[in-house]
Amino acid sequence: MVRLQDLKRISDYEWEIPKSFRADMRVPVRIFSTKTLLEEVMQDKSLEQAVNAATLPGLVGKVLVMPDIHQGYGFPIGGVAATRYPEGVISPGGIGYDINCGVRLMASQIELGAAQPHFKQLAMALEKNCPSGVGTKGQLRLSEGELDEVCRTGSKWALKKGMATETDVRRTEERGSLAGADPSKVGQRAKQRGRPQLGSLGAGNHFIEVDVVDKVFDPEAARIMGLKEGFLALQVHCGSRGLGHQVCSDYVQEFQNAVRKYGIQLVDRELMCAPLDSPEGQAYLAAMRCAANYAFANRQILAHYVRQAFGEVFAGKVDNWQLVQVYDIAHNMGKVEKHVVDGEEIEVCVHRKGATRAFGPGAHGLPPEYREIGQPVLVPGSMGTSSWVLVGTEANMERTFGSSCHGAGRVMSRQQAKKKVWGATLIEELEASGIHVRAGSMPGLAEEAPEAYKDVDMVVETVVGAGIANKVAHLRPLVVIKG
Amino acid sequence: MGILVTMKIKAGFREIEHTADLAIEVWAPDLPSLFSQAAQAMYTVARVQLAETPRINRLINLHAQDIESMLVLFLNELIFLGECDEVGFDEMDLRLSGEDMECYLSGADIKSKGREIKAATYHGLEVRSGADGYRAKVVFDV
Repeated sequence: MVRLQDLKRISDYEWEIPKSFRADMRVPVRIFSTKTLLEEVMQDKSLEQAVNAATLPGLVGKVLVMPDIHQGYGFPIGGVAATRYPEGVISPGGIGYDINCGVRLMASQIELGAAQPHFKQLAMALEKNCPSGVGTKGQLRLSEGELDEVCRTGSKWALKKGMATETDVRRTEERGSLAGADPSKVGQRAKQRGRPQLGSLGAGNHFIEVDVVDKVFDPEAARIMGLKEGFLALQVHCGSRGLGHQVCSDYVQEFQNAVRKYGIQLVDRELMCAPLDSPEGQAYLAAMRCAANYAFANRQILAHYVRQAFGEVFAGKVDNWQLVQVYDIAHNMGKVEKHVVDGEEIEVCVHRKGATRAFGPGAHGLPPEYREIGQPVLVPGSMGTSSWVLVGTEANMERTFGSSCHGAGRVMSRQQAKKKVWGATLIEELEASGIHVRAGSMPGLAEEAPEAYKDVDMVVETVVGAGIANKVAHLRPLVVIKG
Repeated sequence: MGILVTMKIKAGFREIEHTADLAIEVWAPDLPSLFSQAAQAMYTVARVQLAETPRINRLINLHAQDIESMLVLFLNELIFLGECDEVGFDEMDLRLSGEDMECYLSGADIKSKGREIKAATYHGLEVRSGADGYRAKVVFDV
């Protein structure tokens, strides 16, 4: 159990659990949090999980904890850990079952006033065009060969099929296609789960949300991103569906033998891992990249359906209803990147679980238009509250392996949320505050009630205060489609 | 001289608090009932409703290095069958022998489901045995 007195205060926004806290820790844990958020975090086992993550072989720097941290399984959600490539380990539990769950933001030229009378129709059109909900399948029928191509090429497959623009692909992390994806490393069961689901939102906390840009903090960055105060924007939040879940399950199982083979001691079996340079580690990396590419393609296809819905509702009513991609980022991913650690640039495998990449200005891999301002960081809040658009900072690159928070972070279990909130009442309350909600399930909606989450504004103030990212714009929700 | 009789517990389960995901605690007088209860608990938290007919029967064989792995494998097998074949099971006959398990499943098509379960995890998983039976806690990613 980690107590407040075990932490060393670095600043108002940074705390550290020293390596000496537990004999098996290989690196310290650095927590980005205010004291208030930290007190909330200490209600569950998230910090204990971060300490457990700090025991993995081959770690470099520090295990990092973002202010939206909450208890997961194995790794905490909101955790970042980097292992030296190729001799360190890769842990599927440090990436998550929903590989490349992520967020996409698109900007529009539609003014709030012009759109307002059409919100009910827009909610219906989005729900009709974008398959969502528990067990929902997509509209595409893929052959096994086509699924393999999706796994290999991600968003580029959607571009070839006319469901993406060049700008969409350019403004996606890794251009929507991780190199080194090998579909032969993805099991048949994962393919069987994923094949009918491409182009579907799923359920849980996944959503499509129409927002208004209600405040701009950095006019130049917002202009470059195409975000204008008083105009609509749209977010899509989903991941790799059953394909990613099965890839993670399969390799967690397979790594049971690997940990014995390579003599790795684990404090929690969900931290199952294998050396990156082992055949097992390489196979998982290749399969995980396939699932990541599937997720990029999935969000891209949903973006295509969203555009169709906008066309159905706004054609002839507004001059320009086109949605232009701002950015698409992953928040459950393991990536081999170059970072400076102790003054030396080395290759590391950065595990981001419930955390996003947040590269600063000039970083390698950003689209040309974002090189001067830094990478857009998308921080969706809970339903009915607000979301933020930030940019990564240069100073952040060495401190967090260029990473930031991914959302508000849960504080209440789903069981607690259901006891406190009634789905139908929540819809009425949201409607009364001008937010149109379409949900697949009332209990599911109650589980995602705003009070089940931390205050996203506090999370954002923390990353900004800590110098991890800077504010660009604040978004307010108008129409929410919950899976 | 008195005879000490340990009463075996009746099989059951409850949902336990977990911030992000779903967790259950399961108990039963013997291991096959523990597995069967874990399956019923998972279907309950996923709000799975089965069709009344036709009945569907399956036989699955699993191999695992220990009892915790067997439980995770078994639940993940049911998640897979639920997602791909859209079938769920309410009757189970399980036979455990060393590292192997043979399981006769009887159920029906899933009529409705209220929640997607991505996977059963190993997090904090421990199958404990006592004089009165077996207990386990399982965390599901949802």
